[in-house]
Amino acid sequence: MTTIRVLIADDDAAMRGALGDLLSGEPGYEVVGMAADPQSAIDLAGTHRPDVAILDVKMPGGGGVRAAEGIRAASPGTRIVALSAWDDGETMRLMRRAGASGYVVKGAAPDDIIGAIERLRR
Amino acid sequence: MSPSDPVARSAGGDAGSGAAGAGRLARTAGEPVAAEAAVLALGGEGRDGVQGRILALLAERVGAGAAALFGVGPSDPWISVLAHVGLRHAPDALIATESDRKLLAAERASLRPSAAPEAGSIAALLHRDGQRAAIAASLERHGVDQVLVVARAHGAFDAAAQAALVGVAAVLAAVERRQQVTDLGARRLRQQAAVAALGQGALGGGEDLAELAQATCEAAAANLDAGIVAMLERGRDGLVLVARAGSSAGTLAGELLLWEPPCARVMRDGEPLVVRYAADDIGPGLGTSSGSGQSSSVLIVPIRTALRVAGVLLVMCHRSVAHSDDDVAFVRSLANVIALATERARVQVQLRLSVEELRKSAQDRSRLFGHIVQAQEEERQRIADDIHDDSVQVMTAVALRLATLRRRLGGGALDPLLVNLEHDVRQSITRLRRLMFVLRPPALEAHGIAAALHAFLAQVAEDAGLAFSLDDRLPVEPEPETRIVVYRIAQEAVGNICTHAKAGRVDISLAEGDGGVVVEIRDDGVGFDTGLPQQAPGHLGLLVMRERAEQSGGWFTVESQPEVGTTVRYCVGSGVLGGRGTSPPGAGDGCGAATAGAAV
Repeated sequence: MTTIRVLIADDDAAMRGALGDLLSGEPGYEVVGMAADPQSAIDLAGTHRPDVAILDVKMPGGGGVRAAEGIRAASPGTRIVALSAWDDGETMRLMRRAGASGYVVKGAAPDDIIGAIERLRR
Repeated sequence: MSPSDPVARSAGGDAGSGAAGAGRLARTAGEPVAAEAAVLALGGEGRDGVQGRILALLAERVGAGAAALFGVGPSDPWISVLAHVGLRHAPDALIATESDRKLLAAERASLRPSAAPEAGSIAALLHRDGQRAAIAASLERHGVDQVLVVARAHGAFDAAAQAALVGVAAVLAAVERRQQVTDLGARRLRQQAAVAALGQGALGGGEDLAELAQATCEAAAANLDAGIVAMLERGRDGLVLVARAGSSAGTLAGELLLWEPPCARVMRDGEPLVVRYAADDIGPGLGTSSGSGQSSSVLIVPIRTALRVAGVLLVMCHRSVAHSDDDVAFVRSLANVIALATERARVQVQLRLSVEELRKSAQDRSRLFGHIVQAQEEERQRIADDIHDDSVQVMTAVALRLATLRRRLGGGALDPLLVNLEHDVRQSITRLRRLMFVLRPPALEAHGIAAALHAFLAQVAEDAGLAFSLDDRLPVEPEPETRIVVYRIAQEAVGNICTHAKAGRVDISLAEGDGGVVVEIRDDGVGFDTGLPQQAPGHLGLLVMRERAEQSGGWFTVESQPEVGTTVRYCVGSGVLGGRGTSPPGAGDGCGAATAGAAV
């Protein structure tokens, strides 16, 4: 099974750490970078070319939308999963337009998060 | 005065006291004529007709070619013929024409009452001197109001004729007194009617002060035989003429120069000033009128408002008139009417200012309320953001770590504990999210009041097991401030229902009305007795709801009956910022309800 290389971007350190702990301990996953803002996420994506980037939609400095647009440019092969506390249609629409392929609500169970990433692999 | 004096004294009425000898005999001889005259006087005819008939009787009995009654008319400063028989010319012409010498029988220059031997003396005198006013004044100084004169072309009158003249003079004096009493009564009635009419105008408020002042001056002039009436008010540099009647502005200016000091004194003292023979005395320290004004008697009455003497009414007559107490009372009444109208105008101005202040205060209050609402919402937004950015994030991370831990452990003895722990953490997250939703309903800004209320009801209904309906009849979306107040009150009301009402359903309607948004929230819960508002469940919440609605310029009512349910109705003003209050339908005080018990 191919290892999925993941980039995590969230301004909240606790959330970032929890996601990192989940995925780094999961067989077949590698966390290649963690960013606290959109620009760092774009830079890391350009450097590591991750398979998947999990992006918090409400990060300061342009939010998930800016990060998604930048990553699409810096690493076109990276698939993007939006992560948000707000399960509303408008946010989802904006992220989809910016290039997100998946959507995960904060508070989702580990299986749901991993499931969202796995769906991108297919 | 001699018993044979051909003079009628209307003032004293005593036409023959102290006579003796031949005079007494003559008077006795004249009594039948006087008696006949008295019978005529008592016949019920008016003064003017009776005078002529009595003069005709007298002329016939004493063999006179002409008889005339001279006097000072009630509104005439000149001596004139009041009645006559046998004169060839009109009375005024007679007096002014030198060639007419039909009359005799009067003293010469002073007109002191007595018989005179030759005809034409009065006519000559009056014409020669051209001083009819002076003669009138002379009569008045002697206390004589009228002079009865008979004349014949040839031969002197005998004693009996003189006695008849004296007797008839007494009768004419009585006729005059009777007429004066009648005139006085009529004059009082006219004065009272004038005061009543002006008072009605002043109380009605339809007449402005300038018009009322003018009408007052005219009423005084018409009912006091006054030559000039003026109303003066306190101005910055002295007295200011407000209205006048009976005089040109130029004539009045000269009079005012003279009468300003007495007026100022009345303004200062606040008491009326009555001056007769103004040329002789217009009061201590005030000088005299000689060489200046023309008025002989003056009445000055203060116009006293509740706060001060605002002005005076100045009544001037060109001859010396003894202003009666009734006249003074009349002018005081007029002054009171003006004072009343002035006071009313002042109160109205104050009232307008108060209303303006109240309106401004209401606007300030509404503006403040708007700011408070805005600040509250901003604070709620900040708290919601903090919960989202901090508490929810951390709790979510905790939940994820717990889930990850449980996943790594892969079951075992700790698994149930971890499951419960994770469940509790997720429960906390759910509650935090609900709090965020309450603090800042995302649909309110994005989709409007109906959508936000629907989302809120859906969530509440799920938790509380309530059926609900929402009837949105708003034609347009309200302004953001209005929307927030509508939402917050509904939130509070539905919260009360969930907590206290034990209701099975809640129905909400939104409509436009009373210049804002009218909301009705009806439940089928246990209700309460609105007669005991303090015991109403959630009554503090009711107070807050009412306060919010009324502060927005709207209203708030509650109808409730035990076991029937509760209906909350409220209106939120369309202009929360600067909106004006409205009243609920059927409520007099803005917070009542007409049916199903009293409002809370």
